[in-house]
Amino acid sequence: MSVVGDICVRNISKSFNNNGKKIEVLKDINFEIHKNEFLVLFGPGQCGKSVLMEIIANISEPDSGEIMCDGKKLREEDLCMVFQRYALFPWKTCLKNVEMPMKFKGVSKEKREEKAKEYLKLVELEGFENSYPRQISGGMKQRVAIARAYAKECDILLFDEPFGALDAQTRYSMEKELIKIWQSEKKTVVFITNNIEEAVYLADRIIILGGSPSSITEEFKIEIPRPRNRSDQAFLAIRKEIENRAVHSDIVSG
Amino acid sequence: MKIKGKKRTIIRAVIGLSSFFLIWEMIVRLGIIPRNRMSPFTEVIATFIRKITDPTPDGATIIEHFLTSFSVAFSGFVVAALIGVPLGMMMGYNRYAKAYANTIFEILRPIPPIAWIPIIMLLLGIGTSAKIFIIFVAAVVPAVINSYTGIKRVPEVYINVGKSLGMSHFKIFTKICIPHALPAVFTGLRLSLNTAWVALVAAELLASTKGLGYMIQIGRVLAKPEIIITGMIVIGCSGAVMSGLLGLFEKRFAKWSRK
Amino acid sequence: MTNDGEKMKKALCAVISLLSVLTILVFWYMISWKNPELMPTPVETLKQMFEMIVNPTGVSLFEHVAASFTRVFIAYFSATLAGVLIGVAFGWSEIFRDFVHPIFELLRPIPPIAWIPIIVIWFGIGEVSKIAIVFIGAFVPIVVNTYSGMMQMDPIYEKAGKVIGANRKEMLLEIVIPASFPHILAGMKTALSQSWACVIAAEMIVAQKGLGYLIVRSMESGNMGNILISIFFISGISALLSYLFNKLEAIICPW
Repeated sequence: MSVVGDICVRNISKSFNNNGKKIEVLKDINFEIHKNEFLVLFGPGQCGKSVLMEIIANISEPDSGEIMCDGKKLREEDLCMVFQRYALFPWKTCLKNVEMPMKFKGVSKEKREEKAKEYLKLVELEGFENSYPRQISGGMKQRVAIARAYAKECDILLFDEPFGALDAQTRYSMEKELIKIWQSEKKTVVFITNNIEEAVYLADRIIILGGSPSSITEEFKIEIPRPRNRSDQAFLAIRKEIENRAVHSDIVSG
Repeated sequence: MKIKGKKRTIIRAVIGLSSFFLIWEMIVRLGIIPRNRMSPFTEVIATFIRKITDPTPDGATIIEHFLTSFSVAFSGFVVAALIGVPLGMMMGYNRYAKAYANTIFEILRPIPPIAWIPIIMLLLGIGTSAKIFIIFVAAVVPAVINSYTGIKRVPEVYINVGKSLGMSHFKIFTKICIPHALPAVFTGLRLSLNTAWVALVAAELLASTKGLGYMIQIGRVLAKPEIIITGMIVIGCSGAVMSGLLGLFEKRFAKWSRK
Repeated sequence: MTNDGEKMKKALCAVISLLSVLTILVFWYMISWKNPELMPTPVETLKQMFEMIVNPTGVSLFEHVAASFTRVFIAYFSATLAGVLIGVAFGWSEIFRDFVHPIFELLRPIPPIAWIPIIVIWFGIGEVSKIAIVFIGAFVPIVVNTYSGMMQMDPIYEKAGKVIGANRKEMLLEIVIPASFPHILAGMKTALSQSWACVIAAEMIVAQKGLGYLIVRSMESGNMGNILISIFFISGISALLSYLFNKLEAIICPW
């Protein structure tokens, strides 16, 4: 398995055509993603974060710019993505869903079943191997999706507001869970959210997108040791700072 | 980019269609299928043009055939719509109306419209009124079913809003349920019209002396493929045009349902 | 308002349902009394059906049913196979869609019944022509539903397939086709009832056997009882087929 280093997002711009009117969504986005860091992209709804993520994942084409990794174009096989709407295949059981990425790689049937079971164990879903996605809760579905992304055994994981549709309780436990998994098997993570608390809880570094068309407005390093406590003084201080600098300036300027 | 893609699609469609007609023409001209079984495309066009004014060999011009078919199908359809839509809506709104009509419906629904033809013909003969009745029986089913589901699918919330605003049952029905059900009603009407047209062709194939169904049947008896194919094309086109017109109508009356 | 009131209403509905069946029977009796030589009463019809089953004369009722059934069976399965293939090709290959879909759209508005005369000229009045007509009737809804199922697929499945590493072939077989499967089944369901209606129509116009033929022959001889018996069987089988299909759907499409 190739091990990839830092990723360079260079000069990404993207616009859409809406009834003949050109709408610029992203303008000249530049940043780096360091190896094994937990990077959070934070921004208001409709600011183009998801578009940016789809460009990184090579699902969408940018109008200009490129995503580079170790001097070459970032390859699809080095990354995987988790979606807000889970995107599990409803016609397959949880186990088969997790097996899919390995199946596409040509892993043998026995091997991939064994591995898939391990990954389901990693997300604490033993005993749900033969359940269909419609039979389990939203939080559990997202766990299966995370297990499926891990099963691709790639170095970079992209999360597109994965916990946005979950209730607050489930969300907290999923965030904790995600950090635990990430710490046990380090990967480069890019995580999108529009929730400041979630961003501060998870991130090594937060990049804030804002304006129209969107560009990077701020960057924060979060150096609170993990596991983090949401009511901690340091936590609240950073949260407040981001709120003042990012959100309010956005409201004033917008 | 997008416009370029559209242009390409159109060009390909034109190529696809013209090769279809060309192959058809060649298959007959080269004698791969003999003339008494199939007519070349150009001959069909010529037959169509000739038949606009010429009543031979099947006894009527194509316009007469069309008008005969259309008037019967349309009358049957209108009666079916006038009875079926209110009936379906009543069934959707009132459970007693539903209990009464639904059982009858469930018994009669699986019977293909065509199978009604013999009963009706024995009871009412083969006159125009018998045919209109056949069309009615065929076309009323989709009209009722879709109007019924249209009313049934009005979300409870809207009805509760009406109640909390102090609207009467009648007002809730006319001001909330009917508008909400309109798109479904139109879907039903389109299906209904379609069924009416098909049932009419079937009825004319079985027993008639005029009409497009009769025309293709006589084409078979006389072994004149050009008459049959001309008839088929007119049947297909008029069906498509009718449902297109109904679609336009729908756009006017249920604007909100479409993007 | 109370539970009792709700129960009362339900009971009333059941009574009304029964009443509606009664209406049909009363109506039927009225027609029989007015035209005694034309329309047998329900009881007479039942007797006649019993007689037909116990002491068949000539071609038995079950031979007619079997003849219709065989035609539907052959045509329906070949139409399903061909229809899914063409529908998938429309949904998957832009080139195929651009070139061939207009031709399909051109032929689609012609009702299957209107094909009968030309098909009889092409294939004669044997089995092939009836199968061909039923085939057309079943083929069209399957193609339309398969194609629209693929077009309406939630794009998230395609994105998910891409990020977990599916190549084009895997995308089609493992993701796009299973995702459109409910639509394909819906098309197959429409096609099944269409096939049944088409076989009756085809047999009414050209056949020496089958339920449709039985109806027409009975019409010519003015035997209303036989017509009613045939219709009873036609709708019974039609209802049975859609019931079986729904059962099957629950088994093979559990999600």
